[in-house]
Amino acid sequence: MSSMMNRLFNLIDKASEKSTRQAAQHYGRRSFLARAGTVFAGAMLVPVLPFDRSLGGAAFAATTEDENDCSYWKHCALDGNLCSTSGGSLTSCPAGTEASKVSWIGTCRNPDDEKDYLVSYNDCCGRATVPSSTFCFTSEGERPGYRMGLHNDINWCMANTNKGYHCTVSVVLGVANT
Amino acid sequence: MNHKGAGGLLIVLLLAVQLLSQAAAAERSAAANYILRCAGCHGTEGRGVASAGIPTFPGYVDEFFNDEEGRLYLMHVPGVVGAGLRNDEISEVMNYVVDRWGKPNVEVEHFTTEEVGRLRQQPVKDVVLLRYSITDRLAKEGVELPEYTWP
Repeated sequence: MSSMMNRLFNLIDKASEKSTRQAAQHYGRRSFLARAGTVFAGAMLVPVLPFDRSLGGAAFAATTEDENDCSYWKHCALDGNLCSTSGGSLTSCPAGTEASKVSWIGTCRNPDDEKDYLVSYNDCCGRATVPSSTFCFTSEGERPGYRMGLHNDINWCMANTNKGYHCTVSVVLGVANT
Repeated sequence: MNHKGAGGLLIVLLLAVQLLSQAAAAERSAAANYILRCAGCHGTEGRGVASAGIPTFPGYVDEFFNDEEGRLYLMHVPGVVGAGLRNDEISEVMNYVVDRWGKPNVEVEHFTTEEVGRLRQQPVKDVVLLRYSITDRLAKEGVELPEYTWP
């Protein structure tokens, strides 16, 4: 797929270069500016093509490598406090809490290999939240509450004995396209 | 090629790139769709959480596949209804589930896209009552089924 993309982009580059050189040889700068202005004004009236940001679409490519930052790639569909800032870690619940038996699962793109991964967001249950912990609301792929099966604004501790919400971990389950 | 032709080619190529990217991103395997849309409650090993009313699959799920009412019930399980999957994707996920967790020596009829569409069109007034109707009948036939706690 990537080699095909590279070939397409090379083709586009060459076509653009050729047409630009031809235009430069035939038209003065004033003529170019007049035509470019018309094109840009026209482009503002053209509706933007739809872009799939659902679970089937590619996740935003996050750039940070800080696991305590909400823009870290594994947190792309998270709604909750980071366990790594609540006394636990990216993948483990803090002492005195237990992982939720049910969870929200999202799809996040790893910017290092450009692959989509399935990530389970388990809540850690049984203690009150830590006030200083980092709260993230990325929830990519989530849909409104009337689509219950696609809605993440839920306390996933609901299936545990102790239903008190503490924080959320981000656990990679595997590559999405398997 | 004149510059107008090059501009047209650019637009066509950019559209082609976008369509290809979307097609590649939209398709997921049955295993991936199971994890994404089902495993949050049923778990990656299909064990569910009996105490929370989420039944377990291993050793039981094929009983619903081999029962006419059971097949209707499966198409109206809340997680299936709310998964946001197409009929063909639902049939693939259901067949993945029974292939993985059905009893090994029991033959089952797989779902087709057409059957999924047809069964989803049939109204089911109360999915919990439908399940009890099925499990009570099967229990009388001596079929063992997992615990189910919804009132």
